[in-house]
Amino acid sequence: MDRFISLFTIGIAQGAIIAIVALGFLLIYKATGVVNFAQGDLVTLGAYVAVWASTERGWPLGVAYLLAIVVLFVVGIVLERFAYAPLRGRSIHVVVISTLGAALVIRAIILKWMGPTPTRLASPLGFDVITVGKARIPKQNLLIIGLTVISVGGTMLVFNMTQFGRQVRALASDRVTAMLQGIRATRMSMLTFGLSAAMSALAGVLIAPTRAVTVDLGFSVMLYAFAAAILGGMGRLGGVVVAAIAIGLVRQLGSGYINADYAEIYPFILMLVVLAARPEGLFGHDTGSRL
Amino acid sequence: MTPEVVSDPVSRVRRPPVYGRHQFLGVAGFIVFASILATVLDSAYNYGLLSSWLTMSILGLGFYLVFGLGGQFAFSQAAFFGLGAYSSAWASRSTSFGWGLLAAIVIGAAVALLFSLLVFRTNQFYFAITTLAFSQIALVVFREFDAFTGSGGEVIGIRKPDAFGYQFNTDVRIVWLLIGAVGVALFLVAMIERSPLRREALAVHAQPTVAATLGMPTGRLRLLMFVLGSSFAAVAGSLQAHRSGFISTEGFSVALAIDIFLILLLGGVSSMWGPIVGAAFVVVAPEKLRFIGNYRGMVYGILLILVIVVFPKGLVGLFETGWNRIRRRQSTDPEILGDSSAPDPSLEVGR
Amino acid sequence: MLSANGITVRFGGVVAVDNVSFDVPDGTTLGLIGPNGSGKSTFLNALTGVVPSTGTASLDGRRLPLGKPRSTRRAGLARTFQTPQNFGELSCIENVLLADSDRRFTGLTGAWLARPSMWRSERARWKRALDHLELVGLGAHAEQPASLLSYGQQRMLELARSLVGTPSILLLDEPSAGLNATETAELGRILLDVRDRGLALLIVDHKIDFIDSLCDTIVVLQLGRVVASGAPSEVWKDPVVVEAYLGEG
Repeated sequence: MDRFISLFTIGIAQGAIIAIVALGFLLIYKATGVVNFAQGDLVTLGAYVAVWASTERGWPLGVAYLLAIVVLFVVGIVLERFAYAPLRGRSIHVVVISTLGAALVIRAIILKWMGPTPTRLASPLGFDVITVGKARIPKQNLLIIGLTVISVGGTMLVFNMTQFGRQVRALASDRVTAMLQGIRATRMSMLTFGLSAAMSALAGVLIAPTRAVTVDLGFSVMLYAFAAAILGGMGRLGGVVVAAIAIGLVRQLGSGYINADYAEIYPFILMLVVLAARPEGLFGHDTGSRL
Repeated sequence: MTPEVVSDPVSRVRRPPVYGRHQFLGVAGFIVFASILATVLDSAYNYGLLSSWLTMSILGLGFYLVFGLGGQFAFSQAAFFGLGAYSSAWASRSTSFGWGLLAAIVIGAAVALLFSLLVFRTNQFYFAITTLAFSQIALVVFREFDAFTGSGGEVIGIRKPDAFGYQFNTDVRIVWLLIGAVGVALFLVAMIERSPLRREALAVHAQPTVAATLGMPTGRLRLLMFVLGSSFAAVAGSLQAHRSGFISTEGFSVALAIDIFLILLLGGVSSMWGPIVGAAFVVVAPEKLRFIGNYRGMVYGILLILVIVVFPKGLVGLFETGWNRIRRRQSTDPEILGDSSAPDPSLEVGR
Repeated sequence: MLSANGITVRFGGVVAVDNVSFDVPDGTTLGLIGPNGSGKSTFLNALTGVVPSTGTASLDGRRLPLGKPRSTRRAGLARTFQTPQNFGELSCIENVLLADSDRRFTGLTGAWLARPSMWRSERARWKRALDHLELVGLGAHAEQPASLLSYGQQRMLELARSLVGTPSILLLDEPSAGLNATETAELGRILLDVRDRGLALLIVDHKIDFIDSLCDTIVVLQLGRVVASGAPSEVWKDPVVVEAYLGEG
């Protein structure tokens, strides 16, 4: 039971981070139709900005976190300007390849800047743990869960309650009409890229203390986020959050009870099985073809 | 559109489109060119570069079938490269190179078939992401499944290639083997290019629903192109394993998958010669141009973006456009000049 | 003969096509008209299996599998689209070749193992394709990429493509849209010619004159339902139709 509690909390915490990245990814997807393959490297970049600020500059962790989020917001806008804006109206294949190119560039910049040696980011809570029965739960995990609840809740509120959210939803359901009705697509896409990158940064600084920080940090998180977005059917945000938590749990529980060597791939196997049965995802619906 | 069509330059239709021969001539030309390179170059270093180029060409040709003709956004090419390498190393342990190669093809094709049947009904972006997931699964399996791949995914002492008692045991002999292999691969692709299969694959890729209403077996065609291309990757993997004698999971990561995208896109996604040209760039440029070697990731990333923005048909497309321009300039036929006022199809962007 | 029976299409809660039934005998032409959004195109999409639908349809007594575009085409039902859907990077003749009903040796076997057989069947296909291009007046453009054709020519190419598979019924979705008067007349001539060869035609169009000159029967759809049907002269006297068209403006 203690083992279960421990695995369960880690699973939830990992799922929470995946949920943040997945929501950021969906935000761009809904507002612009772009599948952003640079999402993972934005997570990595966010973590590295915090590492730089806290270890090289010696700034307090809170400042480092904020800096990462702000810097990444700007990076998101730059990304939009260079990798997406020149390609608006081109086929979606083209845009996706461009985000791949952007991912390579971001990764190369990180390597030049911080080098290939793995590094660490401290947790504001240090190595404190809470003991439940015999299970020792790092407080960092609770911080992750707490901040995720706040940010996911905030995203949902924004999405459902504000003018901005309404415009994103309008763009998602019918881009052409939405733009004809005066939604300013340029501003919207810059804003969504910025917000999405800022969310990636949050995920980056949250996940960094739980593992070694390398240039690959964000990649696997991004893949799980993609899997979550797909399982959730790219549709309701709630479905995606549930799928993200499920992925975190499957990974941890599989690692604990089946075989830890193969832990990374349980979520992917889950995704493949679900897609084989329901090609449009768990909560998705077939959009049909347009002619 | 009246009977005077004979004077129209575009009307000289004498035979079905599958009859042209320039692809086959191109294959012959390629073999001659590569053979000259193999004869002229002499250091182990250069043989190494040449071998890498040839191996990557097979890998890229496979991806041309999957993505160029089949239009499927797949990141799995690197994983199938690895699958072929490990399968071949495993099967040839107590047999021979030939059995290893055969095992690579059979296992590669079978896994590709099973995978694409599994995610058959998903749309193209889901498919792209499932291929990424597949690559991750493959990497973990290579690393952990020791009975198949050796401890930690490292296999050493893979036997050198041989055929009918002839040992390809020197660098230059391996180069000749690879020239033969690329020749065969090009020939197989050229036969597809010169057959109805090309137009069918392109049609299914461009507009699957319309293709289905014309009676085409869209699902089967997609499957076929994916399995074919993945098998090419497996063959390349087998050749790579036996050439270097050593494999580890490092060589089959998603980074390679992205290199393969660059190979095809930079070379030219709409021509079978694209991957050959692209592979030459990706293999040679980082070695010969120091700047590119140092800033590899950055240069590749910027190139990817530049290629699709500025010259979406890749280097081969640039050559073709240049060549057509020269030909047009030489010609004074007013009708041909009149014809050239029509929009240039090479400016047609994206798909 | 095509018989449609109780064809119904639902999009979410909206019934786009509601229980539509009629027959199109061989060698006759049926015009399907109605205001925008009345479900004409959706009905064609349902018959050709592009959108999911309920009901039954049969062609020459054999049941058509709804929801399966490929089987429907092979059963002998061909169509064109509201906006021409040609494959721009392929040449005109390749566009037509794609649709040939003889599909022998078009796959990997033909490409790799049985090239002489592939050439043989390809020559036959090629001749047929060229004949059909000539029929619609595009013989001179056979080798040109389809993307270079004018809009009217695109429509003609699509027509050639839908005819080459020797269908027993042809469904045309607004074939005259975007054509000038000469092109429309030429289209009408070709369609009459095709009908006289025994094909059944089902035409959706907005040009009343065009429909009147071609069709033996007219079916009027409104909000997904059949509101009138019969010979053109009768249909135009029907007050419901008059109102629908005046209402349309």
